[in-house]
Amino acid sequence: MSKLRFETLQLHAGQEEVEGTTRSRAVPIYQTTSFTFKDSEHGANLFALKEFGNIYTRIMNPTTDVFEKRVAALEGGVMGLATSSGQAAQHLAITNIMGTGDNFISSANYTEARTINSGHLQKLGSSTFCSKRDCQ
Amino acid sequence: MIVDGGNYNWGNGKFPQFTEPSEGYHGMVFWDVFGTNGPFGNIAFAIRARVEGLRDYGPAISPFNSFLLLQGLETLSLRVQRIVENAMDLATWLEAHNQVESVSYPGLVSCSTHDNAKKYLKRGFGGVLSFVLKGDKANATKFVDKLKLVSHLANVGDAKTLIIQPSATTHQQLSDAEQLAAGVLPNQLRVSVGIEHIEDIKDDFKQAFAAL
Repeated sequence: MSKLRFETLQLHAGQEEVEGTTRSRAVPIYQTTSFTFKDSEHGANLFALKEFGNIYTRIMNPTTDVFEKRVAALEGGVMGLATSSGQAAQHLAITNIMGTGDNFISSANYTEARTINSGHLQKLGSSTFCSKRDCQ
Repeated sequence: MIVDGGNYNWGNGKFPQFTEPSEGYHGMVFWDVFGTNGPFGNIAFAIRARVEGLRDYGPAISPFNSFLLLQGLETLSLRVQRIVENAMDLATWLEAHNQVESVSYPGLVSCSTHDNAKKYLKRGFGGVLSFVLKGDKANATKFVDKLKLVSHLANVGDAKTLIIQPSATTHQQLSDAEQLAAGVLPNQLRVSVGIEHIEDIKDDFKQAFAAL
């Protein structure tokens, strides 16, 4: 099939095939905390990241997985990671690459972004530079 | 939501989190397994944010909310088409209004970023505009309070039309000088245009203008 367009991806990406057990057309809501292992070896592999699969909804969930794949497809990325809020996404993105003593450049335009960067991160030992106007 | 573009070299030596053994995974090196030369291609940033960040800090999304967001995504482009049509119409109408000092919307020829907007934004100029009302800060506050259909709140990008006075709300924690540096004027209002019928949006604006 040729490369799908945005308008089609927004309906289908991440759920190219319907789920095998129920054949549900809508993306099913897997409202569960945890997922059973096939056997002990399967569980051990999942924990060691030797095999991809569901362990715990906090880390990944099949409903959320479709959502993450769909947004990644729409944005042209390789992988998505959904969080409970945008601020949480920003926190994970920043702490994923920053540590004590690192510097961070921020625009001064948005209040929450500015206070997390200049306030909270400085307390954790990182410096922030706020630009006077826009980041060019 | 984080989307990993998969196009940055986290193994360049400046990010030890990716190139030194991880304590949480028995010494696994993220860039070796999830980097460009690994079996999955470059997904190192997203994987580490998931299995160290999301795992340990825990700001996980509820599966039910993921479902609702998927439901919304199904018609995203249709809503955006209508939003950008309405926004262009409202911006043009406001610019010609005698109680309005100026309108900032990249779709307008008068906007300083119009040439760049035409180059990059091929399918409309977005759903958010701001305008400066003639008069002082209190006058702009009164305009917001007189609106009936348009919602007064801090969000953008709803299906419903929204308005806010940034100087009094979203940017009030900045000093006056910082507000000006961020492009926020006291009598300026920000509108996030929704998918209502455009004439109903204008009618609400008309009755609020008339009440000033």
